[in-house]
Amino acid sequence: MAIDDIYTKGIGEGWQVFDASTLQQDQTWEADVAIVGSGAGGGTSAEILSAAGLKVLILEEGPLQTAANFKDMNDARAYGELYQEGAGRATADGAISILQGRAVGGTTTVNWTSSFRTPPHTLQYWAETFGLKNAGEAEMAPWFARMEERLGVAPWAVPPNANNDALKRGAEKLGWAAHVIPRNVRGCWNLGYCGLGCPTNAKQSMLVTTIPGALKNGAQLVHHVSVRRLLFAGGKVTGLAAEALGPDCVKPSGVRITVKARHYVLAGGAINNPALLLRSGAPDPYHRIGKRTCIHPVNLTLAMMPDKVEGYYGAPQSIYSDEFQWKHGARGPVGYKIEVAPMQPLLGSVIYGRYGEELKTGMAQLPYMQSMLALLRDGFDEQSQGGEITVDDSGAPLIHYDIGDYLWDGMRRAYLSMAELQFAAGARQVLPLHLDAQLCSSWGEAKEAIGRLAYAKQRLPLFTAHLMGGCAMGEDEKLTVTDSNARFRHADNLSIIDGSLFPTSIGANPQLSIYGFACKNATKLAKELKA
Amino acid sequence: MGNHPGRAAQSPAAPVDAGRRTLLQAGLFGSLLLAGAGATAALSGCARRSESTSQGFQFLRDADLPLLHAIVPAVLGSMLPPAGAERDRLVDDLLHRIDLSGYRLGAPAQKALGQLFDLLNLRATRWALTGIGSWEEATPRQMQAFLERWRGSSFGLLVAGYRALVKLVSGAFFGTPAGWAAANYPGPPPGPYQVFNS
Repeated sequence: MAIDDIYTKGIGEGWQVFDASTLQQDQTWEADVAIVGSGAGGGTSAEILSAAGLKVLILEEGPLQTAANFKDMNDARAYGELYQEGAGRATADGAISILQGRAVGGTTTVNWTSSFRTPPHTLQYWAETFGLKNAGEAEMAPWFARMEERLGVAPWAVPPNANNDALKRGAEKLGWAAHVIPRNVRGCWNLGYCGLGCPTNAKQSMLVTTIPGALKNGAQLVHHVSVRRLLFAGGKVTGLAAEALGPDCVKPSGVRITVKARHYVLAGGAINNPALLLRSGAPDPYHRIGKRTCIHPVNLTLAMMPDKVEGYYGAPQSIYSDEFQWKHGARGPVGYKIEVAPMQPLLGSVIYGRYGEELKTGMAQLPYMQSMLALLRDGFDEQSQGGEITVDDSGAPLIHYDIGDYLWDGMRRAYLSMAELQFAAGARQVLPLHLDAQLCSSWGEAKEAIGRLAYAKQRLPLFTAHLMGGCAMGEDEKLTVTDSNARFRHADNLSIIDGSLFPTSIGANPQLSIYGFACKNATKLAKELKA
Repeated sequence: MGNHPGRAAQSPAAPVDAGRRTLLQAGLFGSLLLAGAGATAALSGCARRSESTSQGFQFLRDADLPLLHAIVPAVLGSMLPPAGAERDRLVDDLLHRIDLSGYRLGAPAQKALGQLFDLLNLRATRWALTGIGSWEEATPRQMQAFLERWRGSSFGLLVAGYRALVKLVSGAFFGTPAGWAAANYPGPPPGPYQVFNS
């Protein structure tokens, strides 16, 4: 039984989908709105703008892959083909690994489906600190509700897999807060392979919802195309220059594509948007482009459980704990959200970070491994201003992210919380993922070991899958790149609609925040362009 | 808290050359590394990164292959089959997977990885930083000593090098059927897999 890949039928019925790698000659395309990127921001915007009757052109650097590709559930293929830099993206110093999607549907094609509204503390902090208007809890509620309805977001009604159940059990035992995660799925088979692309179309990613919606409205989608430069003149964007990529989606094919549109929307994410603006020489009088890049830095602990966990099967994230997230409101020592990570062997080995017999012995226990991760809520304190995106001589993005004592303190506390949870859930042994750490056999031992660890870059394997900021929104022009409606301050016909707008981290997995703000901003933009 | 003594300093068993530590602290190797092997290569008249890729590869150069043939068994140890055709096939597959990982990196990461390889391929820097004369002749014990030294180094760039090498090799291996077996991973759920692929 082949699963319907949606696109074969759609293209047969006249959807306008173009693979730029097949083009032989330079092209010029025209549209009312050109959208760069097809992830949470671009997909949502494309559906709304095309529904308003605007001619929309979506440009995606990654490939178009569907359930027909995802049916192999193969981690090596998926990480290589569906993630930025083949899942090898990292900060410039190599200290933090970055998992970010690169495909039609963007990161939504490969994320783990956790869907949270922007926390009220975060919205309030943005209003107070960046002057963000019309984005309070009550003002945002209808936009989130609309996208939750569109994408089937609901708390996961199926019992959690054993990986998540350990978080639930541990929290219950300790009396800590733990709740069920809302997921954007319809008819989910509970397989656990969300990170490799959903083989059943159950995940309501942009790939199977808003992009098909936009294509039905007559939008055009071009994939395998990398936007190199926006052309600024006379206070406007006058065009964009792009390169077609070859079939392997790595090297340019040599074909050049020029796009002329009335309006341009950047939705390439918090690394690629600032890089595009910087290499285009976008006007930026206060040097705000690429600043305040927040990443929810992640550290992890692994537990060896007495019974099989099989953390590679079942909905990857279904339980979370915010016990340590808002202890002091938005401010104070850094808060963190605790979740788990799915444990397919490739990702498992990469987070494990060992070699030789230690790698062999550890990985042989993969079926018994339970993983815990902490998402640190960065960007809410003087001592946590986020990182910075710059570009190298070739225009490629460089990601700089420093970690000071404020965040190290959070990492240390997060290790402690996660180890305590794992022992409360019945772990035999716990390993804080750190080059100097050993397996600990009791909570007391773990506590002492975590206290003694060296907190420095490279000694902790650090990760991020949540890229935010770099084009902050708000009303204080000295701090922000766009206004409260996501309009770029220094050109009349340019909007930025995705996670790069967020002036701090979210304090929760960001996809629903991106959908909600995109829905609000794109709806307003559609009205203005139709007026 | 931002400063740390390093693993080597904590465990007396780890071999640490006091002279080298002093050098590292003095920053001599720091400037060498920061300048990148590009500068070293230029000085020695050997700007290797401009060489073309090895036959059948898209990123790796001829000079990188002996290094990887030494690193793969050092990282995977007895997870590799014993010498023979099966092992040769697997190592060849892993080298191509590592090559593809390098090929897919963006320009800045490619440059950094290329510099790491250059540093490990030039005799002078290899000897100084790893204690290894040639990759072809390195013993398992020497390879382990090199990886331990880098892993335990108080010098972040060497630790970064350790992490990059281990990640490249283990990431490649655990994406193969042999790696799945080593991890006791049964593979995707067979029922649904059959349904999707029949």
